[in-house]
Amino acid sequence: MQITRRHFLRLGGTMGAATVIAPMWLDATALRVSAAGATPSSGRKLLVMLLAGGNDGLNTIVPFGNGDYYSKRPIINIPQSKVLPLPGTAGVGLHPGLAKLQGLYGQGRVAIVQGVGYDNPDLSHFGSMDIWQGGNPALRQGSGWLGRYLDHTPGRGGAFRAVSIGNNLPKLLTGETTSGVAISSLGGFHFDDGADAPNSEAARLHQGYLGCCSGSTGDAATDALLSGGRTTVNTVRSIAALAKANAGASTATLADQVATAMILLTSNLGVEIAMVTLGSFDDHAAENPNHDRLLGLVDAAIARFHDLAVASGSPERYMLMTFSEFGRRVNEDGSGGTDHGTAAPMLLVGEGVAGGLYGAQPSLSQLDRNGNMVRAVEMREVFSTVVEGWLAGPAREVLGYGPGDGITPVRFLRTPTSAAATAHPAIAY
Amino acid sequence: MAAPLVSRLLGQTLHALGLIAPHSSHGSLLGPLLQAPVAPPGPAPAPVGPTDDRRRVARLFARAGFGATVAEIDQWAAAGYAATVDHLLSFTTANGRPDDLEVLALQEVASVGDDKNPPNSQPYQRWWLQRMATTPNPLEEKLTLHWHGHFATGYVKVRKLGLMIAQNRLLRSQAAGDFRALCKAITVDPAMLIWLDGNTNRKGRPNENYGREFMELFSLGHDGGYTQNDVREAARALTGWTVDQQGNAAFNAALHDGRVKTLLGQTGPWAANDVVDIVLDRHPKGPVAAHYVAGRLAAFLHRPDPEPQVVQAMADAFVNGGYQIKPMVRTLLLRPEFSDGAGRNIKSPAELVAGSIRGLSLARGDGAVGLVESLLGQPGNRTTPNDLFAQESATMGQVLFDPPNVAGWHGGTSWANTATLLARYNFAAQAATLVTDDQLGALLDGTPAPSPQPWMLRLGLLDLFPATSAAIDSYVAEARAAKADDKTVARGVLTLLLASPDYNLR
Repeated sequence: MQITRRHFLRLGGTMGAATVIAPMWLDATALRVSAAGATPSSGRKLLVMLLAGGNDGLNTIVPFGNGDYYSKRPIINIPQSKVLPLPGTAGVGLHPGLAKLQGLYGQGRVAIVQGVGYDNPDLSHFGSMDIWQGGNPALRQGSGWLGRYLDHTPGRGGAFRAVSIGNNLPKLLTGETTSGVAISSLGGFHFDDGADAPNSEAARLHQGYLGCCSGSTGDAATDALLSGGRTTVNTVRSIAALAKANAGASTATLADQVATAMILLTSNLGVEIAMVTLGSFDDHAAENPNHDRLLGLVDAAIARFHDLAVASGSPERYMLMTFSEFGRRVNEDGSGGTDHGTAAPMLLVGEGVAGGLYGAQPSLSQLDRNGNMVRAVEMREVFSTVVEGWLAGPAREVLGYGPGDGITPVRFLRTPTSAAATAHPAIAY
Repeated sequence: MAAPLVSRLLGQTLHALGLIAPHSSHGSLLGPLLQAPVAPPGPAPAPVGPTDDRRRVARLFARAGFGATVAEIDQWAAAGYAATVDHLLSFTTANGRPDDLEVLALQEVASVGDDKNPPNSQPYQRWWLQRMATTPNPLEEKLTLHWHGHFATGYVKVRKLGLMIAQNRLLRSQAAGDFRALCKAITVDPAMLIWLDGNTNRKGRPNENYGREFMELFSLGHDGGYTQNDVREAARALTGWTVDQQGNAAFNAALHDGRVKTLLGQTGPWAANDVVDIVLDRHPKGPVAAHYVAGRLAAFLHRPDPEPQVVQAMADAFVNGGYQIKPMVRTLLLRPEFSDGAGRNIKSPAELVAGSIRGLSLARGDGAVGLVESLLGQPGNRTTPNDLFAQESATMGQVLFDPPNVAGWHGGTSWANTATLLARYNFAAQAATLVTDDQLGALLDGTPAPSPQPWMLRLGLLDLFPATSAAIDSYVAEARAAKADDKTVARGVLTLLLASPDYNLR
């Protein structure tokens, strides 16, 4: 007999205090059962950092050795004297606000993949964001590629496997059948009317809310509230102890959000993927002061990630990945800013990363018909390494490419999973 | 659908009526309700479900307004659905009542925040929510809210909150008015000029920001048949507008690119108004803009995935009416898919909060003071540090005057995730605690046991999903078994109703 929450609700009247926590036992049992035949997880964790609005890649990883950079950006260029050099490279350096990243690069902890994009680039924020999060430029998918990773690897992890720090759940973490959760802050992620103490009024109400959210109807909006309500109650319950122990954890800055994400990733809850977002990168005007400020936040956040990974005792299990929906136009506009562009660098940070420069800086003179750079690396050539080499998931199924699509994973990992080596021998790391 | 509840609901009408504040226009509702059958003791009688007209009218008020009490629903159901549509659409654009905050805001138009001291928008959010909760013209506010999401502008970049209020007045003045005029005005609206950098778009060095978003998000849509070249040419046509320190927009011909541009195949020395006219009238693929604008309005008022034939009918009415908004809205409201279709939508946080205040405030004739002010803070206090709604709304995913980006709020199922649904539950629990003991006492007077019915009357819920009804019944049974007092249980029932899928849907 399948015991549903409805049955527990009905039983509740006679079971008294025990009913409050019974659904938690049920969920734990169900998870153990479903986990029995599942593929083992890689044990590795991924932190995704979205730079929303279109980060200016040319003013992040600066091609200071290229004269076109200075001639096409007379106002907003980073002077060569201020660029932070990257050891072992020539003509490329970092924005001066990225000093901590420079230090990590020197320790071999940072892979910079230059010129990442896709063909026929969409210059719309929302169109391009859909493509980056959907994970296949040829398909406008409703789901995201990390959500589909969850779909394809059922039974791994715990009560929830992916979490966005904030009050929205990005498409990236939304699968066809499995999705992550959103948590604004650990200190705020609780029922304001009280915890689920046995036989308390609060516990009765939370069980009542759960009861209101039982079943499904076939109507998308209704079902989003029903299943979302159930997931909400279960998520609150599953992280109650962790949230209480970290009630003071701030989410004020990007670095604080990273710290919250790391609390979840390093917990024993089975969280595999966390995501943080920083916006305001859409610098059409007066770019420099704003971009300087934003990259300072990014630098502090990456450093916090690395410190917390080291503090976990197993830093080799944590990797950070940045992305943005596009880079910006090579030529600055007349407002001291830049319009929407295309290819841009991605950063991968962690002890599992083989530090260095990957990909290639696209030409600043051989541009497409809109004056934008032509990508050197297809985004799936990075994503596939993340899915398969890092998370031990099926990259081709998740990202929808085949042998004829010319996808060659970028080899930025020190030790890819054995799954990556055996499942797809064609992918050589 | 919870038929026993409905019959009991009718049985308790007399008790509940005592709580409904006398409202001059609603006196007539007493007649039909007084004649309602009173449920006898013992087994529930045969169910008396909502009539189709009551259902339609309830749904209309939830979608085209901020909800209605069952008494109002009954009154308008008696008048008929079409008459209710006429009533909702009957507002005129001249009734924007200025209030103290608005005046203060406009006086402070030159105030500018900085990164360390951003302007406090919470009093402005509170002002608008209060207006939504108390307006006699709910559709006007509903459409204003829609246009705020359509022409999404955020105070964090604009900084000058007075400019946001001025834009809000512009949106309200054309809420059901002339879309062409609205587009022309919003293009050179000071807040918009700052938000999308029109104020730095100069001859010879165009800034593409507004030109792109005008076509992609405001008029034609992402796949609206324009190219990057059209974006560039529109940007050139839009050059020359500035905003001074006082927040006034001005056109400076010396900064305008007066040369010929080719936009959507039309060549001429185009300027800002021409961009609007060409996009609306001379798109080579026909009325693309009408379909896009109608589709977004339908997704907001009706359902996230509106039926193509509904959007087509709306677009036809829009074009035939010379881009007047009201005929397009009327067409939607009178479509059977709207009044009788199965598809639901999730209330936005603003709708949820404003609707809760509207439904629960026990003295509407007095400006809904009690609950509004305890919930949202004192309107006279412009620096309330802990504005309850502003905090809850942010967690629910909506801060008025601060949309997540230029595309506005995505709406639909994006309102429902673990962070936002937890915030909705917490809002429900908080709102229930703000109902005073006196109000509860009146509500419970003569009622044999705490039950959903009195709250349902106020919140305009004609019935409940079976699961909701069963869950509330179980909660009441357990709470009473635990010897919880009646007021606690009554607040608990209200919490569950406000948090229920039933009340969060429309």
